[in-house]
Amino acid sequence: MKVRHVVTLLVAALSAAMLAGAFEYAGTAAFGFPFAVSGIVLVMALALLVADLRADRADRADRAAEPASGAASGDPVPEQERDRPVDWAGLATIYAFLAGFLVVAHFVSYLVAVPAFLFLFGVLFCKERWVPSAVLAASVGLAVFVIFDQFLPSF
Amino acid sequence: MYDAILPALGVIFSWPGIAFLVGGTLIGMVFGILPGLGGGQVLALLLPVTFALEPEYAIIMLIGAAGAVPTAGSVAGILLNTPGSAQNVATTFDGYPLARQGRAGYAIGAAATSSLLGALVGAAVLITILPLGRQIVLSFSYPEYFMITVMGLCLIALLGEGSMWKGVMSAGLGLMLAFVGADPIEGLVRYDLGTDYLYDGIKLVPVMIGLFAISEALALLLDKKAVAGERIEFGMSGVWRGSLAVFQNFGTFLRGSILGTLIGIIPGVGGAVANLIAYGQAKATAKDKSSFGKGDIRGVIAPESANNAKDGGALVPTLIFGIPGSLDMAILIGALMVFGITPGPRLMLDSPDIIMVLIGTLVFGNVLAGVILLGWAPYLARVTSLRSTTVAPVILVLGLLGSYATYGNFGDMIVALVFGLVGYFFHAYGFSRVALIIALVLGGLIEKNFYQSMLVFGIEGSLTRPITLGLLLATIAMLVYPALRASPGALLSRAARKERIKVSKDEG
Amino acid sequence: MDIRLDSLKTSVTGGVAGLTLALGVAAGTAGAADFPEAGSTITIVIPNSPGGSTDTTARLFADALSKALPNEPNVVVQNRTGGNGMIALNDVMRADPDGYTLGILEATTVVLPPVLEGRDYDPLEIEWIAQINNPLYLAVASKASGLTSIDQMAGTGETFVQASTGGRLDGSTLGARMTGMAMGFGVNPIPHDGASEALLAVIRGDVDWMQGTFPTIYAQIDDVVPLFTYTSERIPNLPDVPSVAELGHADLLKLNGLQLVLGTTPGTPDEVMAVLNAASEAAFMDESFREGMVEANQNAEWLDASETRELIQAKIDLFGAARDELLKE
Repeated sequence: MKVRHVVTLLVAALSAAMLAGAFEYAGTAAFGFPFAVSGIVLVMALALLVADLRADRADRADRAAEPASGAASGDPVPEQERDRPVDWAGLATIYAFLAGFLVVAHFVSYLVAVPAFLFLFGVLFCKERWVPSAVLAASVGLAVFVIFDQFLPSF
Repeated sequence: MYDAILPALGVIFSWPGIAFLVGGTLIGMVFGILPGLGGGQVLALLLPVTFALEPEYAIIMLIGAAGAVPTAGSVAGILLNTPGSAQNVATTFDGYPLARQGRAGYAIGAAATSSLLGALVGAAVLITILPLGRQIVLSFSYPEYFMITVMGLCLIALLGEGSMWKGVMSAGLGLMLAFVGADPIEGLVRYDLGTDYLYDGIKLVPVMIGLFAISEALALLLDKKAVAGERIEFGMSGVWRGSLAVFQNFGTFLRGSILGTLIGIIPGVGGAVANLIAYGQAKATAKDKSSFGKGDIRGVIAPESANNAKDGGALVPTLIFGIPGSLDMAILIGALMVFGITPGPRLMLDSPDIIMVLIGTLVFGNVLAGVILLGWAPYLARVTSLRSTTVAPVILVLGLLGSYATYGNFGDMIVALVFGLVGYFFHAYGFSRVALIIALVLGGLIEKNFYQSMLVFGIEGSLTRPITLGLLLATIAMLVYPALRASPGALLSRAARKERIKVSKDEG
Repeated sequence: MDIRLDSLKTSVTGGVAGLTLALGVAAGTAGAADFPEAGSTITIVIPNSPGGSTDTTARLFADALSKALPNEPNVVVQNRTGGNGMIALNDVMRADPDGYTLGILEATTVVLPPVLEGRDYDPLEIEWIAQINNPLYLAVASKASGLTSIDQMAGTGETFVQASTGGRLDGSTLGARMTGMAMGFGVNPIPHDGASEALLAVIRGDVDWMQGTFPTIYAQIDDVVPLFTYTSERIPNLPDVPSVAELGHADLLKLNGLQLVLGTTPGTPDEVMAVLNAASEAAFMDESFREGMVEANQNAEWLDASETRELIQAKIDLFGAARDELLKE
């Protein structure tokens, strides 16, 4: 199973959960639209998943049979997206930095979090040099201070 | 009423009126450019300041600021794929592809010019129809509102981002998200997962910032590229060509402006839908629509002319009935009432001077904002040449702060981060972020207007209303027309191409 | 909508304050006597966005309160919208009980969640200070309905379509339904986002009637038919329109309307409350506050702390008694 299928499966799971939740409101206006829409999305997601998996299998069989072709396929299933490799480590690192940003913003201050994030993220993740990172962090920090701290609460 | 025009211009262009106009416009532009901040915030910021002023100057400052927001809001949409608010969503469809091609200046030039001229058309239409405004507003009821929102939703079919199947699924997801929170009839809270946070539903701004800004920043960081490739147009020449493009596509511009004004008149639905319908209309009526979504300048002109023209339209219900078409207008009404000016049928008789100051400010504030934006465009366009490792972290930080600043709720930043991931994977696997956001914007309106229509008119009663029926037919036409319009030749060549592919496969 | 980054910042000041509190415990609890300290900031939390009745009232009151309090602290208004008023209410309930966080809340919205939904708080626990605004509230019919007076509705047992200003379980809708029950007619509410949308539906003639505040309705009064006012006597602007008391339903006065009440965190020390009560009364009497309220078409109507508690208690009793009737169907 590929990431693309996991995404479809997540959509299906979400709509299934919503569909199940809709019955709590059976008999009221809160039931109508959520029931109908999540039901349709669930069916569509499952259909997509099945078609996609079958197309994959057919593709593999094709490729095994005649390894030369495989570029132009007139499949009746929805168009195939290339399976892009996902840089999981990169994503996780970025989100770890962002989580740190939220923690500092929540427990200390966003005025600390903004320059700290920009500097550390620039140096550690983006492999930028120290000085430009510090300049960027300081200038954005200052701009944020002026706009959000000095300007916005002034009323 | 019309003899109040000259004195109103006198107020706007004499000292200190002109200073308030310039000040308000500049502040509005700063708010418009920053993702997450918009008309609501800038008016809330200025409102207490204006209490100390004469009513005329207060209005000049407030309207100047509110009018500048959609003009400047196109910038973040074009440069960073981050619509500043729902009214700039459609600008990103073609604006951002243009920026990626290194033609950000061209796109901003077209956006600024069509915004500026769109506001002029909006104001002209407003002045002409104000005496009839009452009839127009009263002829729209729940079934008409419902059909307009449905029309907006059907645009998803025209967008053609990714596969249709996944587009419809994305829209379904958007609707599902829109159903979280209090339902529009009983007020029962649905899917709140036991938290107060979801009581009001999933908010638009953090979702929008997540789907577009944060996911774009993730893509930039993981691909390590600048927004634009190698070839970037610098300087004013691209900007001027963008300006010129508005005149070369004057029909697109004019239709966008007039549609924007008319949709703006309808309270409650105008702001979010005007730019989408204008975009859909431009694409549906274009002879060659293959370049839409890949950086067609008409895809920038249509929504940008509509979203500025709609402010003129939105003033109709605001002034005549005191009914705000948007949050901006609600705050404006509040400001007027503090000065003892109550919007209503008598306002035009009692204080035509105030109305004319208002309209005059809308016109000249927009002209000023458009001109300033043209001047800034070459510098703004340079943002696209910055390295991703410089731009992306700044987008992340400003996006998070912007999503927080709208409601002051910490949970909004978490929502923005979650939808950053959603947007990243949606983009990678062919789901449509745009369909999701359109459905999220319109879901609540569709549900509410549907039930109101059913409770008051029923199905038959709704469908026999002439305007509703007309809108229904227009929606169907919008969906079917592009197919009919395609010339037999084009159909043939498409069929032939399919045949060729089949042949080549058979041969292979 | 709230555009401040205050709570991010207050987490810093909160941390610092916690530290000073820890260090200062030994110094005794001199705090209450000094309330409010010079240069301090008092926040009035409101559940509405800028621009409406509540916001206008709160901003005018904040200015007057600042002048009326000892040491003239800053008094700022914070718009904490959402959760049908619960977010603002929670801010007030959960603040430190030091008198630096006040709320201007809508009385019915505070009362309903525990009474109808069983939410876990007691509206009487809040330290109520006063009622400062009670916008005139009235019922109007649409011209298309053919109704010209409340007599054509009361006692008929017929059902009339009402443009309601919120959902079916919103306080304003429930108030209208209880009016119908008391007067002997049925109410079929069509929900709208707020009073101005509802009023438009009445003017269009899509519905039979609505009720709302005078500031909203008055500008359009020529396009609607006034039925009665929620007052004890007729009002000068509408001399031909009966008051609800005159119709024999004075008890409906406490149920309907958008009474704005001022209160603070449960457990605020008595000395602080005494200061706040006195200053609030002085602020209410302030000329600029009253003039501003008149100019904005509001109705500054004072109830002191114990009268405000009585109002809250009355709402709890009346809605509580009708709870089952309101929730069925």
